[in-house]
Amino acid sequence: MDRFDESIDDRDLQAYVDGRLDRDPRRKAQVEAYLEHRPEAREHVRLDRAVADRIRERYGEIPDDPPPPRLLRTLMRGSPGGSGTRPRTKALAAAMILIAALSGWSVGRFGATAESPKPNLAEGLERHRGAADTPSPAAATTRPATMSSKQGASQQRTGKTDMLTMQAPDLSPLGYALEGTESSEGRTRYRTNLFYRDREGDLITVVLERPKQPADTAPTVERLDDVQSAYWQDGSLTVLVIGDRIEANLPTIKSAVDRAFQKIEKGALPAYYSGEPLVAEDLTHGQAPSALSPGEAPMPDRQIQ
Amino acid sequence: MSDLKWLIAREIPHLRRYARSLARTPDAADELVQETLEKALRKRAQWRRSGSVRSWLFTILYRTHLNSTRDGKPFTNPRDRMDETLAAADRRVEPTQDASLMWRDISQALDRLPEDQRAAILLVTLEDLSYDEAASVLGIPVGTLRSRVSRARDTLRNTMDPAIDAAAPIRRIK
Repeated sequence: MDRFDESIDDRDLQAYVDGRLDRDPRRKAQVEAYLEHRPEAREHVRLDRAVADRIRERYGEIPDDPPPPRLLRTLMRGSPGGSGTRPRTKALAAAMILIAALSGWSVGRFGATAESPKPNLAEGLERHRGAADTPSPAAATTRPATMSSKQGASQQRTGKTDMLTMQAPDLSPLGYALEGTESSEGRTRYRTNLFYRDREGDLITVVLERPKQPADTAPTVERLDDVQSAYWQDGSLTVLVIGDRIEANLPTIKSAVDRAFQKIEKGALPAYYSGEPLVAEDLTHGQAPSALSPGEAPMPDRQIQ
Repeated sequence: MSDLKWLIAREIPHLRRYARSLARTPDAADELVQETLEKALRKRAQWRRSGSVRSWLFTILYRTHLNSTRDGKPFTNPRDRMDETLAAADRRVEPTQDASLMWRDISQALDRLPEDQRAAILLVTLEDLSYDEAASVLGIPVGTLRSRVSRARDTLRNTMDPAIDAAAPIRRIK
């Protein structure tokens, strides 16, 4: 029996159960030696760990449904900075974009295909025109993300969920600022629409979806009802862009989408929901937050595709 | 937007999870989170930049939760909470009967704990806060925190013992 046995008390056993001794291997070994000769204490530890597992199993999942818009509005509302804070307010809304796809969509093997999957252009155009008809919001405000009426249903997972999270592409080099987002759930997939507007009021709509089959395709430019559009697939993301001067600006737009796209391995939680920092430069427009507290990750640059 | 707001935004998922374990219905939990966010923004000057944002927010959330229950306006009543708990269990990914029973057991066992013990063990077990942080959130000394966790474990161990041995191996979240 270990000579430190008698120094082991309930606090040590609790710390052992909670995994707090992992960074103190010597003490951990002492506790394990202690337990080796005390079946009753060993049984307590086993049950305590089983109960902890039950709690994590029941409550442990980070909510994977998008935060209600009102929570975001609560944060946005309190901003006293006026128009000067607008870009980062928008960035916050962008941070909440979450695209989820239902099971059966394999992620990870992206074989290039010759045929570009054609998204629903008509539906995208309808949303684009609907947004274009909406007056541009006041300079200091951001139209909050809106959720479709099916959003509640989207929270009910019917199978394994592949998660994907990404920042809204930054189209500011083209003079477009993110004006609002809109998420909806189709029959088999989620869709997120991003609406960008420039100073003249011109609108670019970016429609993001998870495809049924991953693939890599080159952009296809198409005109529909005199409105330009371009679409392509990047692995597990389908992108449709609608608006004026799309063809001329396509390299910049695609580059922005590529930078924002971040794949998460199947089964893993999205970066935002696992509490990891988002891409700092996307959210602060190149300015590192100055108020990091100890223990907080220093906003490392995340390698994104 | 201030840097603090950005840091707060990052914590929303964690706030929602802890709120759901306290209030249990998703709607009530989000209501609790919203009130927490509003208070945090009003009291932003109180945040010490040397401290953890998460702990600070959890402190506000827990006190808000306590105040609501003390005022007799719980974010949900126990019956609704249980109904929702069971409904939530049923909504999970293809839950087996064993899994539903298991969730019911742990939910009921947690429900029977005194509020202070439940909050303590959830912070330590679920949110993985250090003992110091959890004590700070609850506004109690570390020794008291340990004591509450220990008593909660005693109760849960006795309550859950048969269920634990009867249930199939489970998947770990963390």
